[in-house]
Amino acid sequence: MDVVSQGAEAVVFVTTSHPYCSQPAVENDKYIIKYRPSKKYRHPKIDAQITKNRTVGEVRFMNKLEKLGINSPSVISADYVNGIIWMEFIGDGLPNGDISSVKNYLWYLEKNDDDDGCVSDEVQSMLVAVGRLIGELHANDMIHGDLTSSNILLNGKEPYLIDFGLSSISSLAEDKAVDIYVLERAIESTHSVFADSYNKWLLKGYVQGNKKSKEVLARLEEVRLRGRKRSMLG
Amino acid sequence: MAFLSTKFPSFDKTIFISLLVDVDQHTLEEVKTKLIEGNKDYDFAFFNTNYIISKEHLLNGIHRAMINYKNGSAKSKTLNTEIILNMSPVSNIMEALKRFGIDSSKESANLLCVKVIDDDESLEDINNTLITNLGVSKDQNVELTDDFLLKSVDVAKFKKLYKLNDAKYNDKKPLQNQLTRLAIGACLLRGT
Repeated sequence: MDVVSQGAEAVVFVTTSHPYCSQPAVENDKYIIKYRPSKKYRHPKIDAQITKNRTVGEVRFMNKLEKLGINSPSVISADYVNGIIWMEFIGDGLPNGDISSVKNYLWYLEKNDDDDGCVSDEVQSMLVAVGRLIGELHANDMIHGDLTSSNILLNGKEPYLIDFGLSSISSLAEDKAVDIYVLERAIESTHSVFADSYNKWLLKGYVQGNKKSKEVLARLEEVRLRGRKRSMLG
Repeated sequence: MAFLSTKFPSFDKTIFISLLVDVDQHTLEEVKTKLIEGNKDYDFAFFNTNYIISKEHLLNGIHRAMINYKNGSAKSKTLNTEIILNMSPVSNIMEALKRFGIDSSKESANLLCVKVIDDDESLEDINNTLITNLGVSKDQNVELTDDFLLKSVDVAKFKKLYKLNDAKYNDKKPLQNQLTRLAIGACLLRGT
């Protein structure tokens, strides 16, 4: 069992052993375990409640995505008391062995390819597909909450969304616009050289995925001017 | 001898699963009576196969029941009932027993017997005793496969129970796999 990533909230492991089944109905033979350790600085009762609520919330969100057929890992099992989620492993790895997230893929191209390679038709169609996926997500009033290029994985050419720790359900254009804005800013800071093209393609895909994108895009203009926070407080 | 056994990496126990096909109504009624009496020979989780879509679905229920027991968050009195409850998408135990438990409404039905046992017990002995106690023939004891489960499930009723009629299905992937994933999700979210 190896650590894949460690955040403020959870540790993510990869393992080859399934919690209960030797021939499960998933494609990969590796599994992801997302574990929310208890936080010593919180009151034990509140800590237990927070861990449970967040784990349940994440499973609920992933189950909803599964139902809607939106690309995301399937839940395999969950232990709410201990804050553990077992899920399907997504991604096929890059030639240099890194996890095949959109971020790593684009960085790999920046390092190993010339400028044309970074903005090739292949990259364009990939990012349009990512945009479409986010559009579909928003069309169903689901907000990811933490869209970055490392929270989108590539399985072959198919993008998959991961990490729903901050996800919520909302029909407000504001929330959707902020969701896209966060991704735009993430792209600008991690892939600054080609960010303009990348963001353009993402939005192109978004419009294809979300039929009611007009209001969201109008709101996005506003959000760009003022930043993520609506009020000046906090 | 046709039974399955498996172990979960995080538990020391062995899972015993044995399938008896076309058990007659009379025997099923008898098993029910013995269960209510609390007879030790009938200390199994008994299922009909109308709503179990795959082995993975069943194993998830068993696994969850064991986790709940370990965490002290079990909702029912025995591990066997907890397993049945964890197959169900609704929290009502009676409802779960009605849907998943022994089905004696027809002349004959399949009976799936599950038991969580300690390592030192002989699986073959357990299976033999089970067959003798129930008075069924050894030919009725067949190996449990995913194909068998898929055939014995009425997909329309299954979708209704798990509220999967509004789900989107991908024609390129096997339906059984998709239903397994969705049903497990529904079971995991029961009562949250």
